[in-house]
This record gives sequence, structure tokens and C-alpha cells, in this order.
Amino acid sequence: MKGHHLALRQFVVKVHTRCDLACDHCYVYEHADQSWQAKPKVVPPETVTRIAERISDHARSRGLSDVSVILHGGEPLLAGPERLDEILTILNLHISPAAELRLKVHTNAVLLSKRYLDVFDKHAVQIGVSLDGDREANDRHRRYANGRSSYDQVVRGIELLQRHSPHLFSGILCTIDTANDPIRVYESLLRLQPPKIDFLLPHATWNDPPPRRSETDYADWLGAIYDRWEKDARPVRIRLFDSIIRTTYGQSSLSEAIGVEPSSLVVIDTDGSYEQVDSLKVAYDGAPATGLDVFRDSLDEVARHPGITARQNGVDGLSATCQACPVVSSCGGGLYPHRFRDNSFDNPSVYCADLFQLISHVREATPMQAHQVSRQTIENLAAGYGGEAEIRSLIGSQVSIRRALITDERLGSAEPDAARTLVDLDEAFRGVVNSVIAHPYVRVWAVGFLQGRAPAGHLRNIAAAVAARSGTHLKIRADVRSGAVHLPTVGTLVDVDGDDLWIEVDEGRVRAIDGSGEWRPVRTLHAAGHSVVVEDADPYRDCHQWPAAGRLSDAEVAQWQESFAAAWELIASDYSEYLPGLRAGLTTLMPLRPDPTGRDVSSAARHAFGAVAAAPPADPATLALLLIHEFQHVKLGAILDMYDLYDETVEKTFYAPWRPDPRPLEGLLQGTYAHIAVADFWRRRRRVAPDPATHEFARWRAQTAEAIETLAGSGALTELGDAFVARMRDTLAPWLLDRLPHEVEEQARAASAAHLEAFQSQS
Amino acid sequence: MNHYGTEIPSAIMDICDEPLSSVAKYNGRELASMLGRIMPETSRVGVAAFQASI
Repeated sequence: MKGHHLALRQFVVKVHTRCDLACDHCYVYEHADQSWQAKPKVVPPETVTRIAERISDHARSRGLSDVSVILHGGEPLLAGPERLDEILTILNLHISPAAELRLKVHTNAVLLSKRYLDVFDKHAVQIGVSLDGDREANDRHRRYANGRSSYDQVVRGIELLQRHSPHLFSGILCTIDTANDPIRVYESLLRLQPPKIDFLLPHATWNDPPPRRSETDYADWLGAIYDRWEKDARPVRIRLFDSIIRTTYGQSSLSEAIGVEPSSLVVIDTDGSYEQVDSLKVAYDGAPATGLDVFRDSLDEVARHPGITARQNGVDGLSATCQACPVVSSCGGGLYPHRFRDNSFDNPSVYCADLFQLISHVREATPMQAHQVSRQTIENLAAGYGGEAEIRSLIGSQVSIRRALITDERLGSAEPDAARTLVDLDEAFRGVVNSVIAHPYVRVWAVGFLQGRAPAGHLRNIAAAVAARSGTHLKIRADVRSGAVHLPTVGTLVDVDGDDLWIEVDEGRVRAIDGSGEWRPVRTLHAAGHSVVVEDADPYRDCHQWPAAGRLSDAEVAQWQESFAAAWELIASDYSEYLPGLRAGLTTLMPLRPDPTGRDVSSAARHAFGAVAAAPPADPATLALLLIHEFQHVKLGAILDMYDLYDETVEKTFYAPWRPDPRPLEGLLQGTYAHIAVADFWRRRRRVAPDPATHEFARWRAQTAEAIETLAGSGALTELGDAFVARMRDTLAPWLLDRLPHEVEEQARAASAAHLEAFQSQS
Repeated sequence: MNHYGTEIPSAIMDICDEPLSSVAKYNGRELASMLGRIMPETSRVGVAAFQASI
């Protein structure tokens, strides 16, 4: 989302500026900024209404599906249950019609009572609690102003929460003091059975460094807990550790404390003033101020504030030291305020040595690595092409996805014997397992099962398919669908008797033990040393936007063979840049029912990597176009599995020059990426068939160019998405300079204008 | 084009050659978010969550 103003999604609403504790490590009261003294104690209802209206307007203008509001303080419970009920009611009233409202409150829990819990239950408010460990650890800082311990009250509050509303308990925040024993802190928190814990580094800057006994005091302290947590098989989510693990695997961090995720947070004080993240208070007096407020300024204006956008630049926004650091993708420079030194945030964190050591320690102990793709590979794919090496890198990630799917514990519980059989087969024949589960419709089935739309039993047939291909002897109860047993990539036993059927696989042969049924091996199409499966039997193949054809006759297969061989030859001669990718990744052709009007029909499905579905084409050139076009969707689907090219939560839809209806961002991106290849097809086709190729080229290059600019200006692309779309534009740019007959250009322009006019009149 | 050097880590963990028995152990933990992203109920793009709440 580089170059755009990111939507704000998290709103920390200060409901009370005072606190009933006097913790000496608190960033609100005990650090440089003292602006709290001039604010109203409790947020007034008219301010809450204005806050809610601003959030609602922002959610609508940015097309946000959900927003989070965190009630904070001071101590928010000091507002009292009635006022909190009123505040939550106002927030719900105004925001819920615009976006899903996720509510949280963060409290010290000393006042927590059934009356508060009833209010929070009524509004589905998740409750986080601050506690620094056992009594000794907690009371080191978290005391009343008169020095009295808060420990018993906090524990009583948590126990009440656990008894009365355990579903609202979101976790415990623990601020670290390395004078405390880390394991005792961990164990004492664990005893309270929170769903999550996070350990916070005490706020500090280079000008006001934290207390420490060594350079890596905090890493040593956290490392001791990490080792114990791993030894305990991670009995609780620990946000800091989970974030390091996630970022190690290329996923997002779960907290602003580490990671390179953009900030989408704004704090709104009790007087309606907008502030940047309020832990900036540790830097200098007035540091979080924006000069904007809910009465005069919209959240769109806040999103443009330099203080907000400064924390949305990913690695670019970090110091040179951080950018060169090998753990930067996990660390992200640490919490923004902790980088402050002499009027600048352009520094590593004051906890740099700790973060480096902790992240390195967690990474060393973490067993798996993420699939990685080279910068050049992404660029080649973004350009619209991609050869064997590029497609192989996508295939690898698809195999990993399928291995994760087939080992999901829900599937293992539903089909324990088949799961065990597959584990055993995998030990001896991993390549065969991977080859069978790479079949496009295995993922379709597995996702269908996990989403409650498909039965688990197909796992047995997958195990039988592996046995058949590896020459292993296996007797297994088959999964029968519509009188047939389908073994992916192997074949189908049709016309079997009943649903309770045992099959025997022996030396690659498959038969029903009761002798019923007829075995039909898969059929393939061949062309110039490449073959694809004609998938006309898999019960999970009917996942495309057009109905699947039934089993093909031998004559129909022969027709497909003729078309396929001719189309392949045409691709090899005239569209050779696409051939290596197709050869590496196209495994399956799934016949669709013909369109009664004679229109060409083809499709790719997001979960069916490797398959192109098509109705019998009019001629080989049409099939060549359909294969090239649909394989673009196959490639991009796999890229989107691996990388975020756009913000999926943006619900806004966009004009697509080839569609009557507005499209979500993924639809527009998919269409545009595919139409680069369509424009390319007609561009080259002009040599042999100037009519209609010239008109088609003029049309598709104009529409694709327009769509690329829509994508680029959507404000919803990630940094990688911006670069990806820019590379798509680079491919198209020289084609736009191709001179075409004036009347053809004019017709294309007029058709585009008419399409846009029709679209606008409909909307 | 990116900030990650020559290799861009993806959100998909490489378990192509990890025994299925081990993969099963990671499921629900490391693999949960990986599976979450290929099924549409899970939001993908991360933002920096406020650290002073959980």
C-alpha cells in the first residue's frame, strides 16, 4: 500500500484518563508526556457519538469489512458500568451498520465485577488484563498510590472472569522486569489459564534506556521462558513468540512490538483529540499529538498525518542499520517509540541487541522454513510469463499446502486408519504421495471437507492411489460416490455394488474384493512429449464456473487429442514464451459442458492448481488461447496463495472494462493478469489472421491498460502488489505504441467508452 | 521490487519433504495461519496490532 494512505482499522478510545493504580512503569503518567492532566476525566457521550460517526464514515469510505475499538485509559473501568454500557451502545449503533465492530477493553481488573461483566457480555467485549507475574513480581511496580499490593484484586478479577465469562477473556499483558524470575512469572501466569499472554518490554528510549544487567538482559529473560514454553509444547499462545515464528515464515506479526506491518492505529483521547500510538508519550512531551480532533477532522485526514504514515513504510521506514539486519523481517525495528534518540526515530530499537538475540534464538529452534521465491522469479511471473523454474517454485508451495491439508487433525480424526496408512506410505514413497496429492482436485476436496462441504472418506481413495502408483499391496474400504470409486491420478472403478466396498490394490492393479465394477484407468492427451490427464471422473472436479462434462466417449477423447496436439504445436511455434510454464504446470484438462449458444467456455479454479477446464473448442487456435488465458489464472492463484498482493479486507469493488458488474480487487487483478496474455495472443495472431486479431488486440490492450491503472490507483495493493502491477504495466507499455489502423483504434475507443457508459448508467 | 534481498519468503511453509507424521504435529500451530490464508474466512494482510491490549 506504499504511496497510498492506509485505512485506519484500530481505534484506541480513552474512556477515562485516571487510574486507580500508580504503576511506576506506566507510559501514561510516569513518562515525558503529561497531557493527560488537561483532558476530561471521562469521555462525554457527545464525544463518543462523534468518535463513532467518524469511525463509521471511515469504514464506509474505505470499504472496510471490520474495525476494532479498544477501550483504554487510564483505567477504563473507572468510567463505571452504566457509562461503559452507554459508550458501547453508541459505538455499536453507529459503527455496526458500516462494518463488523470488534470490541476490546484493557483493564487492570481490580474493579472487575459481575456488573461490568454483564455489560461486556451484552456487547461482546473481549477483556485483556495487565498482570506482571506472581505477587512478588506484580507488586514490584503495580501498586496503589499508597503502596498497597494490587495482586489479590487482580487475581480475584481474573478468577471472576474465568468463572462468569471465560469466552470474553482475551489474555494477560505482562511487563517485564528482569529482576523477576522468568520461569516463576511464566508459571504464575499460566496457572490463571489465560488464552494468550504477551510479554512487553518496558518503555524506554536511547535517551532514557531501560534498567539492565547486561546488553542482552531481556533476551536472556525471554529466552528462558521460550525454552520452557517449547518444552511444555506451547500450552498457551504467547504473542511475542508467535509473532517471531510467524514472521520467520513470512506471515504477519501479531503486535506492533515487532514486525514490518504498517500501523493502522489511532488513539482518541477523552477530549476527542486524535493521537498517534500513545506509547510515544515516552519520547517527549506532546509526542503523540496530531493537532486533529473528531469534531473538526475526519479519519481520512488522520490517515494522511505524517506521524501515522511514517509507520506504514515497512522496511523502507527503518534506519539503515535495521535495513541491513538479517532479522529485520521479524524485528521491524521493534516498537516505534523505543527507537527515539535525540529528536529522531531513525534508529534501531534501544532493545536492538535483545531483539536480535531473541529472534535468532527462536529461529534456530524453529523447525521449518518458508518457501522462498527469488525477486527475479516474481518479476518474470508479474510480467505475465514464467518458465519451468518459476512454475516449479509455485508447484512446491502447492504441494506443501496439500500436505498441510491432508494432515489436518479434523481429517485425521475422521479417517484415522487412512491417515496412518498415508503416513506409512509417505515414509517410503514421499514422491508418489506428493505426486498424487498434487492432482488439482485433491485440494478442492480437502478444502471442501474442512469447510464442511465434502466427506472425509476420499482420504482412503488417495491412500489407495498412492499404493497403486508405488506398487504397494493394500486392502482398504473405499469411498464410493455415485456408484464409483475414484483414485486420483490412477483411475476409477465404476458400476460397483453398494456403498460399503473394500478394494484391493496389488502390483498397481485395483479391484473390488467382491469382484464388482469395471476399472477405467485415467486417460491422457499427448503433445510433443508432454501429457495431461483428461479428468472426466473425479467427483470433486465440478468446482469451476461452468458445469463439468460427464465421462467422455472414446471418440470425444480422440477429438480432444487432435485439438490438444494442434494447439500445443501452435503455442510452441507462435507463443513459445508460454510453453515452458505450461509444460511444467499444466497437468490436467477438465472437459466442461459445451455452451448451447456455441460460445467458447473455459475456466480455472483457485483450489485446482494445474487444471484448465474447457468445453470442446471451435479450433486449435481457440484452445491455444484458452490454455494460455486460463493458465494465467492458475499461476496468479498460486502466487496469491504465497504472497499478499492486496488488502483482502477491502470490500470495495472496481470497474472492469470487460465485465458488466463491478469486481472485487482479486477478480480485477485476476482478469487483468489473464488479459495481458489475451492481448499478447491477438497481438501475435495478427500475422496469420489480421481479422479479427487486429480488432481483438486493439480491444484487449486498451481494456487491460485501463484495468492496470485502476489496480494501481486502488489504494489497496500491498507494496509487493504495487511492484507486481507495475511489472504488468511494463509488459503492456510497448504494445500500446504499436500503430493500428485509425478506424480500428477508434472502434476500440468507442467500444470502451460505450461499455463504461453502460456500466455507469447501471450503477 | 522488494525489501527482502534476493529471496522473498512466502507465507507457505516448505513441508514438501517433511514426514507427514511431523507435519501433523505442526498442524493447528505453525500451519494454522497457512491454511487459514487459503480458505477465505481469514483476513490476510496484517497490520500492527496495538501492543497495550491483547
